[in-house]
Amino acid sequence: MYRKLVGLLTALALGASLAGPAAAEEKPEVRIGTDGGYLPWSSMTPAGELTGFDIELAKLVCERMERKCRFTAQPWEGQIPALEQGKYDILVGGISITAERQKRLAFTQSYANLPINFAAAKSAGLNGKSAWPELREALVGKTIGVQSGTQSQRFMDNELKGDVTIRLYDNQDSLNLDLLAGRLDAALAGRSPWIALTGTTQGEGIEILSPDLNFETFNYLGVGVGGLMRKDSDELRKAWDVALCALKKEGEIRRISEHWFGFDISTRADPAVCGA
Amino acid sequence: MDFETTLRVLTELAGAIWVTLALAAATLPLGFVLAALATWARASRHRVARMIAVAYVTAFRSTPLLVQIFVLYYGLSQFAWLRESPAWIVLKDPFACAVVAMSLCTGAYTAEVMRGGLAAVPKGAVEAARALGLSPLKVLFLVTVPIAVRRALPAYSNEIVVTLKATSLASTITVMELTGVAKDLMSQTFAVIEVFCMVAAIYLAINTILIMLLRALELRLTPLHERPKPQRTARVARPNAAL
Repeated sequence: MYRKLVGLLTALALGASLAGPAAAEEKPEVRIGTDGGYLPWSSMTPAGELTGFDIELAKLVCERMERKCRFTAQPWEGQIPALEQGKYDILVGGISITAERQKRLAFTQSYANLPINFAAAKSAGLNGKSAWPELREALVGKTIGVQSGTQSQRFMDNELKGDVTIRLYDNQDSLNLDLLAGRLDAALAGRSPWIALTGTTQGEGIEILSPDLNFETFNYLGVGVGGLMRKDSDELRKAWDVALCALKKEGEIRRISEHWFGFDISTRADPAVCGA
Repeated sequence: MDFETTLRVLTELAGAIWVTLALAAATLPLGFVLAALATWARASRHRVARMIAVAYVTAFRSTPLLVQIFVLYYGLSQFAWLRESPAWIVLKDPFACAVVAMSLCTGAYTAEVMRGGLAAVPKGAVEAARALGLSPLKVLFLVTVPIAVRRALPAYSNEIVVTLKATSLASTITVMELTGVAKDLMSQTFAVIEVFCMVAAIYLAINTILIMLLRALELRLTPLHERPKPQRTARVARPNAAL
């Protein structure tokens, strides 16, 4: 029995090594890392399948590139180390393009851009401010939650540090729970999770606060979101960019954006990448 | 990492050491009281008290601390009636929640340590004390407790170290202790290895000091004749050495 097993394993190993060179000619599949808990960019269906704006877009890109793609869900905080270790080829899922990240890693062109907003309980009466300084004044002394490692946290550190109590969360879901429980006076995130939250029955008492804090007023927030990869994956980045150019021109990104966000967040084709 | 970043990281981590120490300092006495109560209840004549104590110890020893923290923090806040009750004053605050959850957990383990210590008290010593005519209370405080404390201290030292390390879980409920600050610094600087090695070194330093202090205490509590003899390099002439 034991000998038979050893024989079988040897045969399998031989088979694998023979099949090796033949398979190598085909391009290896693209390993995509994504959060899976960041609605509507990247989330899980109850059945455990990944879905969302970035998942749908990445699938379209893979189709264009004629490459096989494999998605793996992993919490955001561990994704960059995993990418650097070579566990993934690219990360997608509402990842903002920033100069700091560009120092160590490379981005595809920006394909979407979304403002960030504060959200708070309707009963707090914080809504209706027309400009940021006015809202800032109303927020002083409050406890405000934000997901760590996001552009929203950056905003908090730059604009409010010292004047408010900042609480950091590992993910948007925990942030939502504490906002709903009333442990937080307000919370800051991209506009999209708030749209998702206020659309649920639980989130009825929550409202999105004006004004929209967009990337144009606070330029350190970057030019939008892109796919994140290592600097050495030039070939994949170029192929990904070419596919994005085509999808932008055909209005495909606008279409899926309207499906997932309810409005158009796609950015224009980057002339430096796509040509005129 | 350049010098400026290193300095900033170190300053922020140094500030977080106090939060970690405060968590441990608040948790350990509370856990000790809970453990004493559980130990007392487990030896009680009343069946209900015994059952409650056994259920408490079993439940908290058999579930992960992370799950306990999440249930207490995110789970209980789901109930509107609880949010309106006075318990919310404690539950609303992440630091207090972390202390309560960790105290409950370390209390259960410490109860086991106490049980072990009490079981190690020789029956003969207790009987001898009784035969001398000491009152039960005197037997407890003059014989049972001193022996039990000595026997239990190594295991309790271990529990103290474990609790100090477990404070890192408080970062999952927004308490910015060492690990929480480290995670934040990591996402700002991307210097994953550097930041976490620094954090590991800080935990190592704190625990080394703790372990040394506890060893010293252990030695102090050991009666003179039981202390290990200081080893001297023997200078005895070896017989037959010349042969």
